[in-house]
Amino acid sequence: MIELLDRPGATTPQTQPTLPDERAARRTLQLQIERLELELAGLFAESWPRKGLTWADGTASGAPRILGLGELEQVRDRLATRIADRRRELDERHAIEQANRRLVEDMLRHPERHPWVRVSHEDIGEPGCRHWHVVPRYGLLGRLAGWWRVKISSGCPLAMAR
Amino acid sequence: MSQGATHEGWVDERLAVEHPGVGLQWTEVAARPGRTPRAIRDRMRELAGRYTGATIVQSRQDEIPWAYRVLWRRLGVDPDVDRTPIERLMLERLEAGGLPSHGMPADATVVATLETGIPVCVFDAAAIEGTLGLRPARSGERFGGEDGLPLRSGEVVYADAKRPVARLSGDVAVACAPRDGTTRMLVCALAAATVSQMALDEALWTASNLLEAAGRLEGSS
Repeated sequence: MIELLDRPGATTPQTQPTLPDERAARRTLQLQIERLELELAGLFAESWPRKGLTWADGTASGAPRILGLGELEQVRDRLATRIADRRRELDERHAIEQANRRLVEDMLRHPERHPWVRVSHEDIGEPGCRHWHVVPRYGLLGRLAGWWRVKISSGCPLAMAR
Repeated sequence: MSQGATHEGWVDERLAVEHPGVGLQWTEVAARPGRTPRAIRDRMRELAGRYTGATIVQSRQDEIPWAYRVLWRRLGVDPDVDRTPIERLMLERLEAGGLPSHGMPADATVVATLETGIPVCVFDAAAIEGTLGLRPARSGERFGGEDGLPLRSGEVVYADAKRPVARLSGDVAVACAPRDGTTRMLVCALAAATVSQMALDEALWTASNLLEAAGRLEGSS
């Protein structure tokens, strides 16, 4: 042991710093991105046929490349933020759509309380072009007499040749 | 069927460690570029009819399109901005109201990609030097060789022994794309983690078969 300690250079401190192995951290981040992407896909499917939700955050994505640890973290964080934003937006829409469904029910029961109100399928988060419209019976006469009814449209107009 | 054997492309070591399962496979087929025969255009029309807004929305949750979305994301590409090949084709189909024919081999790659979800691209076999693989672009490299556009250093590309030959998005360098006089083509499929070998085989088989069939049908008409 003494011989070892006496040997020149044996006590020289290591000058080469040891980098921590990032592999485990990178793997964890990649798995998180994978799970978030699945969640985003589910949310996207859930949102259909609602329009106006933005799924890209507007930042240029750049060329495909091997990402550093920090970049992977950024991807994960951006994805998590986007999911949280879209979920919140979707929850708000659900609340509005629920209120619109109740309105349609009330329109059907008491059309006289909702003159001229019009609710479309889009307003209740459904696909298609149908809408419920409270209109007077017999035109002006019904309007003056307070005879209201709900007119339900038959659906989307036929596709026209462009 | 005279499709050649399937070859495993090489993958840059760092890329393989970082993204296990990513790779490419290719096969060689005797085919010439040309018009797409009516039978294949009919198949494309039928294929286009299968894609509606709802199926496209749902497809994001399907195993194979999702695997490429994850790969894009892990490589720093936002698949909602720069689409994966399958999603780009599906959106083009929605916008165009069908699948317009662009001749062979482009139509073969469209059918193979849409039917299997696997990104497929085709090269002129004579323009490829050595074997195909995946690697990050080196500093100062150009797309397709000296005359190509400069590539960003580190961009993951398809490459042969000499130069980058295609982008991951499926854009093939002009110098390596099939052209008049091409007699043999390399059909290449991009593999991603969780994508089965069966799906990759099917993609290669579909594209190769269509290319061969197109040659036979054109010759007989």
